[in-house]
Amino acid sequence: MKIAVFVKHVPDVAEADLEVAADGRTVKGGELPFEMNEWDRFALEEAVLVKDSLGGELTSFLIGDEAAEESLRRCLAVGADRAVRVWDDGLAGANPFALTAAMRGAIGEDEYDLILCGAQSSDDGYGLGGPLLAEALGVPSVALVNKMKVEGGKVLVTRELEGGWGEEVEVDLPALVTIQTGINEPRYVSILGIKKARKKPIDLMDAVSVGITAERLATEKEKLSLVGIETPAVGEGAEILEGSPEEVAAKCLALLKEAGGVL
Amino acid sequence: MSVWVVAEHRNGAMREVTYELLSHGAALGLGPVTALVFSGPGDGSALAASLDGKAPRTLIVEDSSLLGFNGTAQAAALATLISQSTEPPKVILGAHSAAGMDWAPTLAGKLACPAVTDVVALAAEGASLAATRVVYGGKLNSKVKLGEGPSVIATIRPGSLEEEPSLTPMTTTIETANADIPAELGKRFVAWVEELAGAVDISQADILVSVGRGIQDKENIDVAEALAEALGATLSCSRPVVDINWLPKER
Repeated sequence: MKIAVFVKHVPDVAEADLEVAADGRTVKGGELPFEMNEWDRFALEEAVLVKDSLGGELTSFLIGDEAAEESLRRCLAVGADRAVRVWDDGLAGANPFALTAAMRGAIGEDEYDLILCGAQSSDDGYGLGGPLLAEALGVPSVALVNKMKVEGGKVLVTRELEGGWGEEVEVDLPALVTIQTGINEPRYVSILGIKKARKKPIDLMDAVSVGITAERLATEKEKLSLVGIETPAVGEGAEILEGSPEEVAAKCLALLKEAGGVL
Repeated sequence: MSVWVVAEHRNGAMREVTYELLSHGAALGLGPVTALVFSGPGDGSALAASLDGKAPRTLIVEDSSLLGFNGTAQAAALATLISQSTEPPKVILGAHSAAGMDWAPTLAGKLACPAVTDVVALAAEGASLAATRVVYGGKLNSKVKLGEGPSVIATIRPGSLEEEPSLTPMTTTIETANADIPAELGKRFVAWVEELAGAVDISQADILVSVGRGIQDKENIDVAEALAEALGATLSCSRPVVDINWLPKER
C-alpha cells in the first residue's frame, strides 16, 4: 500500500488578535506561532493508522518554506517513511490552484493507492486543494470524511453532512480522501520524537523539479486573486456587560426586553 | 450570459439553501437563472416541482449514478452539460455545504476554471466576480477576484443572505437533459445515515447561542443551554467542542 499525505503549516490564530499589515493584503504575522493545519493532523493520523493496519509506505508532502519543515518533522516523527518539501518564492501566498499544481508536480510519476489531505485549512479555508489534486491525477475523490475503512482495493467512507446526517460512499483505489476533524485522535508527539526526526532526510523540490513554469504559475494565480483583507466591521453597539453573574443576567434581560423582547 | 444554480436536496427533499442560491443568482444580474436538479431515475420531477415559479428554467438530469448524492457523477454531468451548451453559463452557483465541498472543487478541476468557495457576498465586477469571504476562523474578511472563465464557480455559505430569499413569481419551464455520465466513475453512493434521530439543523435556526473553546468545562454548557432555552434559541458550538464530545456534531 503506497500512501501519501499532504500537510500545510499555518498560523495558529485561535488565541490571537489579528491585525492587517500596511499592504492591506497580509496579516501582521511576526508574533504568530505556526503549526500543522488542524485538519491535516487528523489526515496524518489516519494515514499512519492505515499504514499500521495494512502495511506499506507513507510519504508526506508539504508546500512551504524552510520554517514550515516543522510540520514535516512531525510527519516523520509519527511514522512517515519519507518527507518531501516543495518551495519556490513564486508560491508565497499562492492560491489553491497554484498550490495544487505544485502538489501534482511533487507526486510526479509515482503512483499512490491512497492520498489523504485535510478537508480544508484553517487560514484560507477554501477546501479546494484535495479534489483539485484528485482531478489532476485522474483519480476519484471524496470530501469531508469522518470515518473510513480500506478493504479489498476500495475505501468505504462516511461523509459528514449537515443536521446530524451522514452519507456512506464507496470509492475504488487509487483514490484521494479529504479528512474532517474528529475522525480519530491524533497521537501525542513528544519533543524527543520530533528531535529524533531531525536526523531523517527531507527531500527538497523546487518549481523546476516539480515541472511548473512561471507561465503556468501565472495562469493558475489568475484564477483567484486576493484584493485585500480587512477586519470585519465591529457590530454596532457592541457592549460588554460587567458585574456579578446575577447583575449581568439582569442587565442582559433588561436590554433584550428593551430591544423588542424575544421573551 | 446566464447563471446556473445547482439545487441541493437530500433524501427526496429540497434543502432551503437552494432558494437562497436562486436569490443570489438573480441578484448577480448576469442573465437568466437556470436551476439544475441532479437526481436518481424518477426522482427529478418531484424535486423540480418544489422550485416551480422560482426560476425561469429548471433542468432535470437523472441517472442511476446520481442516486443519493455523488459529487463525482454530478461534476461529470455538469462538465458535459457545459461543454455541450452553445452558450456556457457565466457562473455556476452552489452551496458551500458538505455536498458543495465535494462536487464544486471536482468540477473546477475538470473545467480548469476559476472557483471560489465559502462566499458570504458575491457581485459581478468587470468581466468576472468579486467575492467576500471570512478567513482565519472568522477573524478577518477577505475580498477576492475571480479570473474570467468562460465559466466560473462560486459556492455560497448557507444563511449568508441578509434577507429572506425573495423571488419574483415566474413561470418555470422544466426541461430534461442527458449528461452521458460515464458508467465507471470509481465512486458509488451507498446510503444516507441518520446519525442522530431528531437532529437539529443549526443552519436553519433564527437565533443561535453558540459556545466555543472559551466554555472551558463541560458543566458550563448547561449555562449556555439555559440561556438558549430562555431566548427560544438553538444551542450550537464550534468544532473543538464537538471533537472532545461535549456536544453532538449536529450542533
